Amino acid sequence: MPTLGNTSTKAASHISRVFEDWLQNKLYHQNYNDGLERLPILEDSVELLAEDVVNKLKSRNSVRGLTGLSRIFIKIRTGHVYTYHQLEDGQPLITADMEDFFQQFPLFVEIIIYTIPKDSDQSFDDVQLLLAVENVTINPADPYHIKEDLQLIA
Amino acid sequence: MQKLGTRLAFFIFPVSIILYQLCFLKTLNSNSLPIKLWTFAVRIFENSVIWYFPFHINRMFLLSFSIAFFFIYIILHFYLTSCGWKQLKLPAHSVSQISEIIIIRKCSLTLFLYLLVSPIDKEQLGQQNQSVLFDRYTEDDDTTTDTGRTMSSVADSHRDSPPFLLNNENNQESSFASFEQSMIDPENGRVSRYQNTYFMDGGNRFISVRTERGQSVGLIFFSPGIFFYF
Repeated sequence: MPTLGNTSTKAASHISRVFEDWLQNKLYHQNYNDGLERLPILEDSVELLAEDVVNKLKSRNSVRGLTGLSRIFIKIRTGHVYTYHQLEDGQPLITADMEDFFQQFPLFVEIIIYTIPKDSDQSFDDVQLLLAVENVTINPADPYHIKEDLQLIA
Repeated sequence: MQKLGTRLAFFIFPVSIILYQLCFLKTLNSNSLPIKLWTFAVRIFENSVIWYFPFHINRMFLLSFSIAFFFIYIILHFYLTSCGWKQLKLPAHSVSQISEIIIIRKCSLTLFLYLLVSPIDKEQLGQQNQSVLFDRYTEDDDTTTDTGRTMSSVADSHRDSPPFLLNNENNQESSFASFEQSMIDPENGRVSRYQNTYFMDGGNRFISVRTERGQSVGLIFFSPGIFFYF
């Protein structure tokens, strides 16, 4: 079962929870939807994934947690663990002791959430959202972008 | 009649600009005649852009002008700093100051005009895709343009690939890029960053792993009370 990642702001943790919820649904329904052997998320089109995530973020429950933000930028990368980038210090992510783990969980979805809080004098309620989805095998280094203004007042 | 008016305007404006500038010639700081003339010429050049502006509401026109300005002034700057002054017999620093001010002023002016025009221009381009004003028709020969192209070749090229028309996709791309840049800017203390990675087994199991990479100082900036530490 998923664990919540550590977050630096309340809003980012909310977004990450929404995303996890989406991911959970996605993986759960994947098995029931088709009998074909098909990798979840990795073999979906990036456009559809992006639309899907944006719709999820636009849902009533999600929007409720976004108050106080003016801008959100979400970067999603997905791929096989071997295409996962190196860590900052140049170490490869996969070390010998992690080999077992990655044999069980060879696919990754990485999410980076950047948020900017609202200025105190800012009156309008829209939150600008930019979403970039990159599948390392389908569109490496050329993420698919969607920009939306999320309206907080439904 | 209309055509005559346009012709007159093209003639009258430069003359009026020159007269206008002559009034201010006295106020130029430098006592040296070459510097005076040079500043004078620059002013005419600059103002002619402004005055011709209604005839050329085209962002590419202004953009090319600001680029041209930039290079002209850069070249002049280097010319003046290298050999210019020895002939002018001026202290080097004064001339380099002058040319630097001119570079900054003129380029920012034209860029400002360009930015000013761009919304109008976009609208206009939407309405009349065919008439890109970049090609001005010369007065004595109605079938060729400034660039020497004929009517038909101009029309053709506009149809195939309108070179100066802004294409929506590019515009959008750049807006994405600028948005992204502003968000991932490490200098921006208001941005807080959160990163998480989920590892999946290809079925319906997944594990969330916190992949910390320079956990942001956003938390500090986010709560206003601690903000003053910085």
